[in-house]
Amino acid sequence: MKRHKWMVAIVMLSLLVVFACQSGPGTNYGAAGLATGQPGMNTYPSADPGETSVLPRAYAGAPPVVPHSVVGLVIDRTTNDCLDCHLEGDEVAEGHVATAVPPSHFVNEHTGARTSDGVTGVRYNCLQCHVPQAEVAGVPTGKK
Amino acid sequence: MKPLSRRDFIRQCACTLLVSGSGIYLNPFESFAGNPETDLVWDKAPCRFCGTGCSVMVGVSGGKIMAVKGDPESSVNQGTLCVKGYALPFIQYGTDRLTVPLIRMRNGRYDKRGKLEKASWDDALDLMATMAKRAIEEKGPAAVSMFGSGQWTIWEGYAAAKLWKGGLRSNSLEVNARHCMASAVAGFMTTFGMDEPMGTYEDFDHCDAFILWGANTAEMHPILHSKMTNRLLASTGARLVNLTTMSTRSSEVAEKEIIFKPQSDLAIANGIANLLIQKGQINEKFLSKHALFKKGRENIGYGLEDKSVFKEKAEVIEFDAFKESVAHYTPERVAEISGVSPADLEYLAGIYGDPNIKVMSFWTMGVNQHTRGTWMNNLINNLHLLTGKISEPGNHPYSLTGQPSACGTCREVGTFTHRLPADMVVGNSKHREVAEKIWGLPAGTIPDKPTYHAVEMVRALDRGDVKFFWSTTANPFQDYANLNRYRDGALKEGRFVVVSDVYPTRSTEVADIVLPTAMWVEKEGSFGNAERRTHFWKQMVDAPGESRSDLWQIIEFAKRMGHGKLFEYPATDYAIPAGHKASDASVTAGFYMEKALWEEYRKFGLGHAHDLTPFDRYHETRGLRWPVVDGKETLIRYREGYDPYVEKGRGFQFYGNKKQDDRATIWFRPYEDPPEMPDAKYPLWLCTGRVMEHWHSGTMTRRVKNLARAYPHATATLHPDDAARLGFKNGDKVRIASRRGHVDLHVEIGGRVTPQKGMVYVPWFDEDVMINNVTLDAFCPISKQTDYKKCAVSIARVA
Repeated sequence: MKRHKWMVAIVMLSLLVVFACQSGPGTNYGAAGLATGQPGMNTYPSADPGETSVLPRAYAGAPPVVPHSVVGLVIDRTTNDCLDCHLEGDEVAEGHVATAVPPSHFVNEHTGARTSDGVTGVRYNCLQCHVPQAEVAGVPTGKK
Repeated sequence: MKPLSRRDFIRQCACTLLVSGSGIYLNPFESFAGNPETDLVWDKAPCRFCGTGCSVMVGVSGGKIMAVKGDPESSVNQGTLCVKGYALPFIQYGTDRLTVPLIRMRNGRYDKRGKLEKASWDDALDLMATMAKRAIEEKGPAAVSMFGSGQWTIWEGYAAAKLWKGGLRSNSLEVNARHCMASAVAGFMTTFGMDEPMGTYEDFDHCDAFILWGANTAEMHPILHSKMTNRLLASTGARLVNLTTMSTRSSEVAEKEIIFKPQSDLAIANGIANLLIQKGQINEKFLSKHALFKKGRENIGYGLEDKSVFKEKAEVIEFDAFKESVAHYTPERVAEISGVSPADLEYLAGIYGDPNIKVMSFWTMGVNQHTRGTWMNNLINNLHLLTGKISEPGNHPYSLTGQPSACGTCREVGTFTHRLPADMVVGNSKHREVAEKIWGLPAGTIPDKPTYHAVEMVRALDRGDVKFFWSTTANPFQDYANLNRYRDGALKEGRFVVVSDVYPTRSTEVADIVLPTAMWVEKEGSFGNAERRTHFWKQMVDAPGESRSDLWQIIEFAKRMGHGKLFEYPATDYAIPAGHKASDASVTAGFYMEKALWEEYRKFGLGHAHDLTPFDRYHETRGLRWPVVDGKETLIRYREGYDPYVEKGRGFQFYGNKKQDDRATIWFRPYEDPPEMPDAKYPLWLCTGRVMEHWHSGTMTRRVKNLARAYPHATATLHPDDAARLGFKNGDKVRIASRRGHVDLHVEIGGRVTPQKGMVYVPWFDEDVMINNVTLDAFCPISKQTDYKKCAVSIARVA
């Protein structure tokens, strides 16, 4: 019986802790979650390709993010500036090797065979998966 | 560096993969360090973002989602995903996830001016029932309203429709799809008598010309855009034309970008029709058998007044009358209205008119969020009917869908005030009879008149005609146009607002009760995408804390309103299979609730071209495209040889229009000005929309670090010439104001979109940039869909 009371106490205590973490001091449910009260500006790194290092992926298999500026890079029907360096993973500056396009991007989506002429068209719009990252300050993420 | 040989390259890639497979980076669950391929349990689900409906494989370990990958077995995305899809493992795990019900309290009791405090589910649901009953006593059932979305699962929408229309006897049920797809629905219904596109994504591989009508697919439907790109690069001669009011990423692979003035798409479409007729490029044989011509009311208003009503007055006209009407849209007149040169109009007409070019026209919010949205849908359908370029591989008008289940849940279940499942409506006594029979209700239960469409619903809330407003899977108090009025309305005494959500939002801010809600694979679900594909998934993880699925919430509320019977089914018929991870709704009921609801729901569509197949099959496939007849899905509707509902020898049969001999309707719809245009005081157009990285109001995607950092804030994008003329530099803080409100934000020049001169573009995802305080709540009087793309604003620097 004594043991039972202890168990109840522990459960209550852990519930309290859980609640405290979820709605502790500083959490104001009256406010919108991510509002800061000020509009922000998007500032991206101005570093050129080759001047930055590879950033970590979110998880294995997640597309790598872009550590350098993408301003002025062209992707159209005849030009794909991203592939210039990334297609085969060129060394763009000393000690800086562009992350190479992986084999998955050379697979014909219908046949499963390897494409004969470069990256498959469904993977051609690099920026639909690989996005640059703005300067960290002021980015709302839901953390309280 | 010496170029690598192919073999070296493959080897190097394999190494990279091995390395990347050996660890999990930045993952919030550091306990997992195994091999994703072998140590995660993988199961399939549709992505929970846009209406493309990509299939993803979800990797789970220790009750948490660890990873996703594109599903190679799905013909939708063939193993690919966009950046939002790859962010799916994080959207559940924001640190401020709501996990307990909250009631606004003061001195220990519910108080509209109190603070949100933790409560039990019983207290929350009891209070909801008390307030809903009080509203019914005071104002009748219509005063009790629910606002869901195209992010509801199909059975959640179905349960809401059954409870509201069959239980509470209230037609005050709406969804945010009203702001999103209503014009497409009204367009398909008025042209073909049946909703939703005739083709599927397989048509992309047969198409020669993709024409985007005000749709930025590169950002809003990236996987569909990549399918088009694939076709464009494949040396097939295929082309893409981007008809748009702004220069966007979608133009990058276009043969031609054609910029037009806001609203003038109406004139352009009529101008193309005129040229097709003048040049003899219409398909007379097709028209004589499969189409007829009509005109409707003109000068139809903009829905700006409360309680505005619209009644169509359609009349059949001869081809010659139609020809004469569109003849006013000469290339010169079209150029004057739209700014599109006669040469560009001829170019477009040349594509539609060439019998050897297969054309798919695509549209979403540009055409649908339009005070003449239904007309614009009709006009695009017209071009395909005039040329007979419809219902064959690669030839279709194709409305793209915003939300993952705008089609499956909102349009097919009919979670709108005027609709019932399978394209039926409450205003039709036979349709009500069908529903009452399936639901086992006495005749006359379902009220015969629609009450409030989405905009009118919040107007009624403001006026006090609606007293109870339950929002779920949506963020109405960030999303509605002319938002100041409706936020103020929600905060008035005597209005009771319930918000079911996963995070604190601008809507929970004005809520009386907040219900913590399970999302995506925290429950068993079903979505329907933009190619009529119904796709199921199983529950893979538990929702945090006391979160419950919408389905559970709706049924528990129903019980307290005295309508629990609506959700009682024989447990023996719907036993929960051994080893199945049952949802909260099923566990509480003691039987397989999702299956019971599905088997009842599909009775609505069987035998009249909305056929859905038995429950279990959907869990075994990557979805099936309705009508599913004899176990076979339908790839192209209205076409003999593809669609089992087309009679032998008919070729084409638009059987939604039985009353007019299965003919589709070609409507004459004129150009009319929008309600508010730039003037001396408000000299710029404001256009609002999304960005690729953020889903709607950003409540999920802004909590994912990679997405938040990729596009942190909403900014005001201007044409560089306008910025120079106004003296703005990149980063200047400005105030955008309209007749309704203002917002402060920073100017961005040279961003990924470039609006035309005289226009400013502001995305609406940012809680610090409440741009809908500025927008205008004008809507298409036929579809009642708000125009978020056009209103007049001023812009000035602020300190």
